[in-house]
Amino acid sequence: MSTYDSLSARLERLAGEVRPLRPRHDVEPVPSVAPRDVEQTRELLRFAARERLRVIPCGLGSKLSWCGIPGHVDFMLSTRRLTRVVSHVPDDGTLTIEAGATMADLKERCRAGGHFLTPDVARAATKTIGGVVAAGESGLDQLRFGPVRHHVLGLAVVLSDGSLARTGGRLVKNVTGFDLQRLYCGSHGTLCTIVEVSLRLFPEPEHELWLSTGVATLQDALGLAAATLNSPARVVSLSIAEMVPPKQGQAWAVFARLFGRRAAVDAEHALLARSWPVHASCEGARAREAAEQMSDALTFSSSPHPTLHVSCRPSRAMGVTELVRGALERLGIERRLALQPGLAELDVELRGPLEPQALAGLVRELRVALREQAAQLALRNAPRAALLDIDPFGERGPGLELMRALQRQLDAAGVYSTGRFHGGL
Amino acid sequence: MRAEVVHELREILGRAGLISEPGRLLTYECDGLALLHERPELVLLPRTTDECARALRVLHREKIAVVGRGAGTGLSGGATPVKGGVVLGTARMRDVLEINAVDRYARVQAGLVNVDLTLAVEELGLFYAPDPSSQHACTLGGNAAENSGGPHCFKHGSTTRHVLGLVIVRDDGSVLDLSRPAVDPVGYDLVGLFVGSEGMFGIATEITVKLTPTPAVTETLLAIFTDLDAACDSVSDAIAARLEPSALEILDKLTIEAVEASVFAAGYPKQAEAVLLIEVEGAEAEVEMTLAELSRIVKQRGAIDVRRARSAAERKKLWAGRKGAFGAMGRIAPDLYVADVVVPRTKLRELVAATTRIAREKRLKLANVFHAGDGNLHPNISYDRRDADEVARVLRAGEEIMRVVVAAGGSLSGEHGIGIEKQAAMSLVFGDDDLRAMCRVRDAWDPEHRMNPGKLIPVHVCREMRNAERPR
Ligand SMILES: Cc1cc2nc3c(=O)[nH]c(=O)nc-3n(C[C@H](O)[C@H](O)[C@H](O)COP(=O)(O)OP(=O)(O)OC[C@H]3O[C@@H](n4cnc5c(N)ncnc54)[C@H](O)[C@@H]3O)c2cc1C
Repeated sequence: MSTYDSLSARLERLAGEVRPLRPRHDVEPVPSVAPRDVEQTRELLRFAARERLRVIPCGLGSKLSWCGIPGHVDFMLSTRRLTRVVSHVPDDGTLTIEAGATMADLKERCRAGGHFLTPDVARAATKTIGGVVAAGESGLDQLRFGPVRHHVLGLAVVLSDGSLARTGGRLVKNVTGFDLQRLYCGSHGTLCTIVEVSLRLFPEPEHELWLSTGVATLQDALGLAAATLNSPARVVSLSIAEMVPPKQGQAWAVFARLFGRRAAVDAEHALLARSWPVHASCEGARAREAAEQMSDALTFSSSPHPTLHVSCRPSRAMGVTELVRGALERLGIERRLALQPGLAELDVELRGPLEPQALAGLVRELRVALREQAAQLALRNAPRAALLDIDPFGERGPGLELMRALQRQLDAAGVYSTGRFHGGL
Repeated sequence: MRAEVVHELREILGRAGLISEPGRLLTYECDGLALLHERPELVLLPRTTDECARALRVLHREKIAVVGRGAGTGLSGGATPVKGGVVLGTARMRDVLEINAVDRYARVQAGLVNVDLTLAVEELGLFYAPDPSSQHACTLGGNAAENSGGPHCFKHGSTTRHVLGLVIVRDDGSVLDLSRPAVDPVGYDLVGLFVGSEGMFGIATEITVKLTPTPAVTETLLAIFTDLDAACDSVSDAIAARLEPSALEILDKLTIEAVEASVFAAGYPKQAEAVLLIEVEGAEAEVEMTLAELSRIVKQRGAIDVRRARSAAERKKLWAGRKGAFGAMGRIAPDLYVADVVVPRTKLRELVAATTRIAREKRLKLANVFHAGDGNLHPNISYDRRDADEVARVLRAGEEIMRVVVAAGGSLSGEHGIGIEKQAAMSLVFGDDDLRAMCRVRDAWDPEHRMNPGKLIPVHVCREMRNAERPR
C-alpha cells in the first residue's frame, strides 16, 4: 500500500469521507478528509499532532492557489460537511453557522429571514463561509459594508492540540476578551481550523439597481467615480473595467450598484443621473443577476490565470493603474483589468503569454515601482516556478517576527502546514 | 525604584515627562472605576514615540511593569496601576500628525482627545465616527485599547472599524510601525488584534483612523414614554423591522431627572418614565422614510409624544443631555458604578427589567441610560463609597447582572472592557481553552507579562499555563 493509500485508509476510519485534493493547483494531490462534526475535526487534529502529520484546513478549496507553495503537507482537512445552523435570530440580525456552509446557501437563508449577507462574494456556491473568513475575502459590496473581518462577531476554531477555542460571541457589539477573530480572519489556515462563524446581517434591500456606462479614458472613468463617491448616494459597489477592444471609442466601462428602499434608490438614481452620462440600467432581480455575474468578471475570482491584486490609496488609483498597464503593455501581455475606485483596489488577470520567470520579474519590478505609491501587490494563482523568490502576499513588512511568534504560540505542535502564507508563515 | 533608574528616565523624558512626587501621583491612582486604586511608583509622560521607546527599554531592562494610560476615563480598571509598576501616560502626545481629506484618514498621536479630531476635520466635511459619551476627555489611544463605542456606533461601528494603522511600542521598547493605511492587512491582522487589547500588547503612540463624510441630512427625534418597557420594545421592533437609524438611545426616569437638574438640561420631560433618542442620517429621501417608520413604531408602542429637533442647536442640546448623563448622576449620590453589558436585541425589555429587579432586591438606586440599538445596557448604580455595606451590595448586584445577562445569551462588556472589574467573570463566558488561546496570544506580544499585568485574563488560567510550561 502506498503512503497515500495507507493514510487515506486511516483517515477514513477516523472520519468517513476521504478524497484526493491538491493543496494548490500545481501540487500533487493528498488525501482530503471531511469530518462529519466538530468533534471529529478535533479528533483528526489530535491524530495529526500524535503522528506528527502536517495539515492544511480548507473549505471547498477555492482559494488555495492564492497561497504560496506549502512546505510539507500530509492531508487536507475540509470543513465542507460542517453545515449545521447553530443559531439564526433574524430579529437580532445575527447568524451562527458551521464553517462548511456555502455562501450561496447562506445568502438564501439570510434572504428568507429578510437580510442581506455581506460579503457578497462571486460564485457563492463554490465557497464556504469558513474559507471566505479564513482568506479574508470581501466582495465588491465592501465599499458599502466594509471588509468581512468587520462583520465576524465571533468564531469557534480548533487549534492544533485539538482544543476548541471560542472568541467574540453572537452579539452585534461586544468587547469581552481579546479580538482573536481579527487574528484568525485572513490567516489562511495557518493558525487554526475555523469550525463556526457568527455574523452580523444587514437589511435585505427592497429594491435594487445596476447601472453601467462607457467612457473614453481612464481619467473620465475616475472622474465619474469621484463624482459618484462624493454624492450623497451611497452606492453599494462601484467598479471600472477596461474594455478590450474598445467599443465605439469607449475604452472603459463604469458600473454602480444601488440598493435599499425603493424611494431612496430612485432618489439616489436621480441624483447620480446628473453626473452619469447616458447609461444603461436594470432593476430588481435582473439587477441582482447582473451584480452577481459582474462580481466574478470584476474580481477574476474563478480565473485559472495568474492575477495581480493591487491596493493603494484612492488618490493614487490613477497613477497606480497607469503604472501597471504601462508595464503590461511593454511586455505585450494580454490582460483583463478592473478597478474598485472607492476601495482603491486593482485586479488584473494575466492571460499571457508569460513565462513564470517573466511573471516573477514583472512582480518584482512592479513592487519596486509601487513602493513610491504606498501600494501593495499580491500575486494569486501563480505557477510555482514563479514563486521561488516571490512572496505572493506582498513585500515583507515590520510585523513578521511578531506574526511568527503568534504562530509558534498557537500552533506549538507545528501541525498546520507552513510556508504558504506571507513571510513563509 | 532605584534612584539611578529614575534619573535615567528623567534624562530621557525631561522634567515635564516624569512625575514622582507623592501628591501628584495621587491623580493616577485609579481610573473611572474609583473602587480600585493603587499608587504607581512613577508616572512617565513621553512626548514622542522615540521617548516612549527609550523609556520602555529601560523598564524592560529593569523588569518593571507598565500600565498605559490615556485620560483615565476607563470604567473597568484598565488603567489602574499595578504594585511596583509605573504608569505611562499619553497626555503630552496630542498632535494631529497628518490629515488626508482626499483619502479620508488622519494620523494622530495617541493622546489626542477624541472630540479634538472631529473639530480638526469638520470644516473639511468629515468627522471621526466613534463618539463615546466621554469624548471631550478620553483619548484615541484609550479608545483603541478598549475598542470603545458610542451612540453613533450603532450605525458606524465601534473603534475597531475605524482604526487603519498603529505605531506600537512593544514591551522591550522596540517600535512596530503598522501605520501604512491599506484596505487589507498583509499577513495576520495585527492592527485589528491590537484594538481592544486593553493595554496588554504594548503602548500605541500613533494611530491612523478613518474619517467619515458628514452626512447630507441628520435628523433627531425624541420619543417620550410613560413606560420603560415600551421604550425597550420600540427598539426591538425597530431592529426587527430592519431599520437603520444611526443612534437609538434610551434614558429612564431617574436619568432624566438627574440630567434636567444639571447643566446638561436638554428639555427632556420630567414626567416621562423613559425617552428614546433617535438619530437618522443619510440622503434626504432615506432619512424621511426611516423617520416615518420609526415614528409609527414608537406611537404603536405607546409613545405619548414624538418631538423632532428643529435646528442644529436643538439637536446638540438633546445630545448634550445624553452624553452628560453619567456626569449629571453625580447629583444623585457621591459615587456611580457604571455597569456595561450586552444583550440580544430581542430581549431588551426582559433584561432591563431584570437589572431593575436586582437593584431593588439589593436596596440600591439604579438608573438606566444605554445604547439600546446595540443591546448595550448601562445599569448605573449610585452609591457612597464610604458605606462599606453599600459597596458590597453594589459589587454583588454588578455580578448578578452579569450572570443574568450571560444566561440569556448576552455578554460581559459592550464597550468598557474587562480590566480588573470583570476579570473573574470572564469564566462565565469563556471556557479554559478559550482563555488559554488568549493567554498564548498575549505571550507572543509580551512574553514577560509586563504590559498591564493582572488584567482581563482570569488569574487561574495564567497560573495554570505557567505551571504547565515550567520545566519539571
Ligand atoms: C462619563 C463617561 C462616559 C463614558 N462613555 C463611554 C461611551 O459612551 N463608550 C465607551 O466605549 N466608553 C465610555 N466611557 C469609558 C471610557 O471613556 C473609554 O473606555 C475610553 O476609551 C477610555 O479612554 P482613556 O483615554 O480615558 O483611557 P484610559 O482610561 O486612560 O485607559 C483605558 C485602557 O486603555 C489602555 N491605554 C490607554 N492608552 C493607551 C495607549 N496609548 N496604548 C495602549 N493602551 C492604552 C489603558 O492601559 C487602559 O487599559 C465613558 C467613561 C466616562 C467616565
